[in-house]
Amino acid sequence: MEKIVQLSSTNLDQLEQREPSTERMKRLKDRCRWKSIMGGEYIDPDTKAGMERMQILTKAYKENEGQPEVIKRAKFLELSGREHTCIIQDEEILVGYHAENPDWVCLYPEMGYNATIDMIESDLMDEEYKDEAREIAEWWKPRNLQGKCEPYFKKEELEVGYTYTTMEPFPFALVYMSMNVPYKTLFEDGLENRIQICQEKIDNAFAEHLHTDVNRPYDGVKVGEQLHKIDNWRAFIIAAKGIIIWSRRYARLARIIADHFDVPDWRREELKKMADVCENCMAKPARGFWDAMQAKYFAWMLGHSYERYASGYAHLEDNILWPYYNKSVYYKDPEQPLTKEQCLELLEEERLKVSERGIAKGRTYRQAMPGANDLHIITIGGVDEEDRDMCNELTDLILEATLNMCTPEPSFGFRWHPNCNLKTKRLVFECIRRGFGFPAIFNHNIKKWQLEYYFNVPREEAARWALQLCMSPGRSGRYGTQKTRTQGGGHHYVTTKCLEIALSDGFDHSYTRKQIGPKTGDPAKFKSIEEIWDAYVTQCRYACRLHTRARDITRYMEARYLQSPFVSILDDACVEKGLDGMEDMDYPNPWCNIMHNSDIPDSFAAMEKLIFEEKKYSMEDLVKALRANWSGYEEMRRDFLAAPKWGNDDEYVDKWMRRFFETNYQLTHEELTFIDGGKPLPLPQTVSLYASMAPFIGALPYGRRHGEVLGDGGISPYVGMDKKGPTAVLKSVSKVDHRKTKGVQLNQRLSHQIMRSEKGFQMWLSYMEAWWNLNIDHVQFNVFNVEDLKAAQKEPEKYEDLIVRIAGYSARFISLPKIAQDAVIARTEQELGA
Amino acid sequence: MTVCGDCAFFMVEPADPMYGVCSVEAKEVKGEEAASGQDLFTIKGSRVGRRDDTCDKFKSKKELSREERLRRSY
Repeated sequence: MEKIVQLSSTNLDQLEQREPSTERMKRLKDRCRWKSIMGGEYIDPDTKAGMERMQILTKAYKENEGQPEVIKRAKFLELSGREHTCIIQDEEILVGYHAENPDWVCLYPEMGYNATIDMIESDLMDEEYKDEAREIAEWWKPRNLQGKCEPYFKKEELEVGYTYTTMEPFPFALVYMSMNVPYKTLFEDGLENRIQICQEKIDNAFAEHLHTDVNRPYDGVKVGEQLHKIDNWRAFIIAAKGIIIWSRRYARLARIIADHFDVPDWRREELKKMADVCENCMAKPARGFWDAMQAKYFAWMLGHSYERYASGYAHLEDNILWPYYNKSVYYKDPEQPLTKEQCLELLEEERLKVSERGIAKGRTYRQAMPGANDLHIITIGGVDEEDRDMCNELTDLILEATLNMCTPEPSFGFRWHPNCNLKTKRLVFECIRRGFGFPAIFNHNIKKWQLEYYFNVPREEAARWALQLCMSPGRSGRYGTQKTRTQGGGHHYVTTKCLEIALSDGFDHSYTRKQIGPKTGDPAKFKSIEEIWDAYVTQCRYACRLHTRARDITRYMEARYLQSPFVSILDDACVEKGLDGMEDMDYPNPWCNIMHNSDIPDSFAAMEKLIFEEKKYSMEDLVKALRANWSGYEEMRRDFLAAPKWGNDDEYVDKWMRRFFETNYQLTHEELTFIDGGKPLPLPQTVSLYASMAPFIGALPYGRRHGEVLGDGGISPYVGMDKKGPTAVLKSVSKVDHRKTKGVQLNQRLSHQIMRSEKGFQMWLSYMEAWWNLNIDHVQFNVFNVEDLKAAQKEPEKYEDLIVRIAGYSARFISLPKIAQDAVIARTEQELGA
Repeated sequence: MTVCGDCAFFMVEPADPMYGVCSVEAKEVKGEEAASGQDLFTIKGSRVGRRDDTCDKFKSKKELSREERLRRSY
């Protein structure tokens, strides 16, 4: 241990000045086409909305009218494989893009009308395309998820569901999904083998059930069961063949450039190798690390950005790639030999390819992720089912690539366990110390236990959990992975808005000026804190249930109209059962996000103390003060601000956080059963909605005014209100039962000076030991110098590489709107060892 | 004729593009005034219709360069 720490310490300066490992990677980083978003809009004016996906999709559907829906989806992919533009940019080694121009994004008219027309009518789409785009959007209007789901809601329910107040907007209009591609199957089998398995399934179905053998009985029930399966298997085959064609068109393009373009000899040779990789990587099992990396990139691009839109980059990267890294670097006669340095370059380029991914998701989540273009979170580290360290040389190389490239995406979740080796932990620390904000640290044991206990995941698989998005674990192997957000995370309810309207009988005075929740009584007449609590819980329950219905109806329609035959063919369970991933209901892994959490205990503690214990103010006073946005009630506001606040190891307020968590568990896990039978767990986290929802939430009882930032995510204290040091924060946080959640986000800002000192690593390790011993689920760190951030606000162009942690993701600081920048700066800096 | 949706203070609402958030009341708040005790930018939003009539606060939108976009407050 000493030796490793000593070695790393002597190289601190070197780590500080890291840069891309090759000149080529430096050039590619300089050319990177960042697709960051600020305030819901793309920062780079060159980012535009493309037409090609919409055109191919619509053409495929019109040409195949009358075919089963799943076949139409597959035909769309087949046509895309033949017709979609292939792009190889100068010098890149990993290839592929999902729009016709690497600066552009593609649209998803089959997913939601509102989000599509929003894009079309914005500056994002050039005037010359708008008429055709509008025509396509209107054609899809009755055929898309939104058109299919809306008839199951009353007008007033839709009004609430399309207003971002007490709940996330309904998923069928939102265009925000997430999933987890079973990459392992692709590496191990290749699509040709998967096609063969599906064909055998079809042949068996005919031989066993759809036969005319007069010597065997006829069973119509079995025949009926087989028809839908045959459609699915056929769709899987059509889609997979189309994807192989697409990949091989990339191979052809690489050969054309090599043979006919004026490129240096080294690049010509490289292009020929790239052609060989593209020829093989989707069709056949991976021969080595390059095949696996290219296959992974293609599959991610297709699954997340093209077949349909889905956020995330869920996989246990160091685990699933290790066999191929090992083959390429260490086997005696490898089929695809590579040096460690070449593998590093591929990992570095992956970071740029992810940063270049542009996504036309709905505005809710464009606003929710300022500074990023989507959530791209990879999982690494941890231990296996026998608690043996799973960190390997590739884990370290992934972290080295991260340090070299200094890009905010993709982010990492590190599966922390005492048995993980110290060298890897040192690299994790270096990334944090540099200010990346990642890896975020997750308690491996809690995550593993949760999957086994709540979701019946076998122990060996549970030990290989990967983050689905920011915080939640899920399967990551060959089957049963999450295929859509309505199988996993599905929605959130906004506790702060629920409290705000509980204090106004369900009426929203501050934003919409409408009744948006049930009538829960005149708050001025509430006689006890329990009456307020009951009104608040009723508002939460209404929001939670209305959105859950929207979520389940969305899933029902996804299974019928928005199948994913490409991703499904990679799932062993889907192929075995002849079911599309959207309709396979056997692997629920659900959660509900809970927003702006410290606001609730802080509010209740202040009301309990000042109104019901000290009786300094009445409920009538409070209602008037909140309606006035505290204006004219300055002294009263100071009293409410001075009441006990979460994060200071103060039982007066901590008991309210415990109650808040228990109630969330009751409202979700105990009271809800989703369409797939899943019982969701609460997941308190806020993405960056503590800033972007600020305009929608009125004044709150702990002293916040309308428009100020909200509670800083998960279980984190409100910015600036944790005043008693990091141990007090951890003690408060440990009072909540983390096993009753899917994850609990904890943001901490650590002292810039200490983290960068010689003793920083040891002090951080001590902090992590305390964190682990308190059974806390998660923690992530900001380490920055306030002066740097303030300077970056004045001269953003000089601080392109300055990265900060926002929520479950990190972003370049300059890409954040000011409200989010200020909130990051305002986080309390904790002194380690205090 | 201009409408509310043409205004620089109009931010398209997250779920329904026919509505927007009026951000005319966005401002810097000094630490002593903020709940956090730190200087903060705040946006007190109100819901408006894209095709609503304009008000006396109307300010014309303009196309922004990348540099201007990076300096936007929200």
